[in-house]
Amino acid sequence: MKIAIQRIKWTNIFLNILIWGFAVLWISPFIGIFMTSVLPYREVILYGWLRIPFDISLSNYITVLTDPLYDLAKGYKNSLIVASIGTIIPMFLAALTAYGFTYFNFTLKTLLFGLILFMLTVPQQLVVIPLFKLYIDIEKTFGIQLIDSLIGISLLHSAWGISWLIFFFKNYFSLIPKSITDAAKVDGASDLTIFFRIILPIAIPGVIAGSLIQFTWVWNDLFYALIFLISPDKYVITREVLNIKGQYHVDWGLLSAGSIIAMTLPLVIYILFNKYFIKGVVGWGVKA
Amino acid sequence: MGREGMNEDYIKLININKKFGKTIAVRDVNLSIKREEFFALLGPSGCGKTTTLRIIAGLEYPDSGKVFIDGIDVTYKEPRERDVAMVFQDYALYPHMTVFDNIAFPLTIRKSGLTKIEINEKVHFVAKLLGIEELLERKPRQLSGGQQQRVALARALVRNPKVWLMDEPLSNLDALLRVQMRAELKKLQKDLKIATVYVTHDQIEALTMADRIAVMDKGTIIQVGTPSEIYNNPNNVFVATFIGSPPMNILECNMEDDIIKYAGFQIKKVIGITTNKFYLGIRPEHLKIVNNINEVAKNEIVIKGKIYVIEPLGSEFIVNVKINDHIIKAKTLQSPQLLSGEEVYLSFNVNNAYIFDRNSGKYLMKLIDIYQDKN
Repeated sequence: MKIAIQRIKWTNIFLNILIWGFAVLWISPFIGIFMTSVLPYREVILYGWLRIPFDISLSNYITVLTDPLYDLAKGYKNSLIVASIGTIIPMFLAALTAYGFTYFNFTLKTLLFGLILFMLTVPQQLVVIPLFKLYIDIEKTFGIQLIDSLIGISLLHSAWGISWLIFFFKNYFSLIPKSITDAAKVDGASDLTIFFRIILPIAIPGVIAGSLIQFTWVWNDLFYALIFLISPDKYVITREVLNIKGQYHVDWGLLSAGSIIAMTLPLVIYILFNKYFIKGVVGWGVKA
Repeated sequence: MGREGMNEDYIKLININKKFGKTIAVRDVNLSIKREEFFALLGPSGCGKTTTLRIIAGLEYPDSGKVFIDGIDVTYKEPRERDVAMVFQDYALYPHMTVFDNIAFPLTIRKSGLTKIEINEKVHFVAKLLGIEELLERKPRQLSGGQQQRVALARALVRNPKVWLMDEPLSNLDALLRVQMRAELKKLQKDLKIATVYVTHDQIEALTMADRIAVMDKGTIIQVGTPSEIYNNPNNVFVATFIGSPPMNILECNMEDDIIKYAGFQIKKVIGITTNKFYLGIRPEHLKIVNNINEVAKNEIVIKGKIYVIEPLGSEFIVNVKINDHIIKAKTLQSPQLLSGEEVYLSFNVNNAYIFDRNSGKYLMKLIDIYQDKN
């Protein structure tokens, strides 16, 4: 009996150390950037960032926010537009598609779902050139400008987000007892009524979680922003932060302050809604 | 019976077949259910009773066959075009809506032309009927199982459907509440006179509530009849063993030279049976403990065995008697003053013994029909 208790204790301690180790590992870059942003650059170079800050200075933040060279406000605004559109469109379409995948039987259903899962494994880098060419072709054929356009990049993120969101929603919807949709059908509801009045309201935690993850994903993207946004007035925040880095000289203090500012919105969202993040991840992985 | 419309076939299933993949869920099911009738589909799990119900509801379409409700062919109609209401085993309340909205849902989504005031009136009417008026503003999760059950019933009642379908609605309730709801549900159905199809695996529920019962097994209907017909005249050994608690004792008997032979007894002078291998079925309540072996009445057969165990049920006793390796159960009002392992004699009247074919399980005759030693 005694031995058993001790054994449990030791595994506990081991797991705790492991978890704490990972947590420290994950959070340390953030702390590093934060310290770099509030300490004088000279001190970081001489003593490193891992120390108790005696001499906090907000000068980096002031410079980044006020210097007309760096237009972070515009970047914020553009990012908000792109991330909002890039969240709302795929959320709606994916929820509707997932509803179909969950509740309907149709030919090639498994194959189609397999294709959607396959899309999840495709790296962005692999498709970026065909996508770029596609956008050029669309512009040539229909005269709709999608490259160097906030709408264009939003649509790109939407398309990219749909596949994982379908997967996410399908799992989430399958947690809802089938008898509920059956009851709604017998009560006289059409499929759209069931979707809008039963399934979607029940899935609100999932909708919020999915939106948050998609939103932060789009917000944090730099890769597409680098390729598809050309003129500086279209730059999103991540692209704007990159601008702080000079071609021949990097002011790490300024760059860090910019990064922290860029991160603020996702961080605030996370702190406000973190229970939904957890719910979302749970909904994603566990089937009741 | 005899009431107007009572004899009309209100719900009709004709040659219904349904497969799920390679599994046959329902096979050649034919049913006629009358207006105002409380009809139970009874059978073990996986017997196809729920699938049959879902086919009536329109939640499944049959592979072949036809479904008629009130004279209209609804075989391939959507559930909402059938004017049926259903109560589910897990109640299936909409968790994000209040009780009021749950009950009002069938009215608000149908273009019924009802005003808000009329909907309000109807909801309050059924809520009052089921005694849940004070719960209307609550959410389903704030209700007990019994209350949720009532809300589900109210939702199914609110728009006066043609047919009431119930899929094991009482099985999630605790035993006491279940007995209470059984009576209430039956009363409600009799008052409202709605054709009701009730799916259950619980024979007591079917026997106590239903006007008629269809016993199902492996996708087919074995027998349809009133509770007493099902109980007293089972047409199949399956029905005999499924109904009754404890179920009918089934003894595998052989026939040799006009003598039925079983481990504990023989029945002589039996003429007129065509098969040599059959089951002899005797209900536990038809078995009596014999105190004096010399005082056996006419037409009584005596079985010798040993007491295995006695189960007291308060008002009655289940006496388990071991005959060779087989245990048969007798239901008695008084406990025999015997201990385990002691010898005991049981008797039954030939009038109460059923003979079933051992291959097909079909009912052949009663023992009295072939018993010659009647004196």
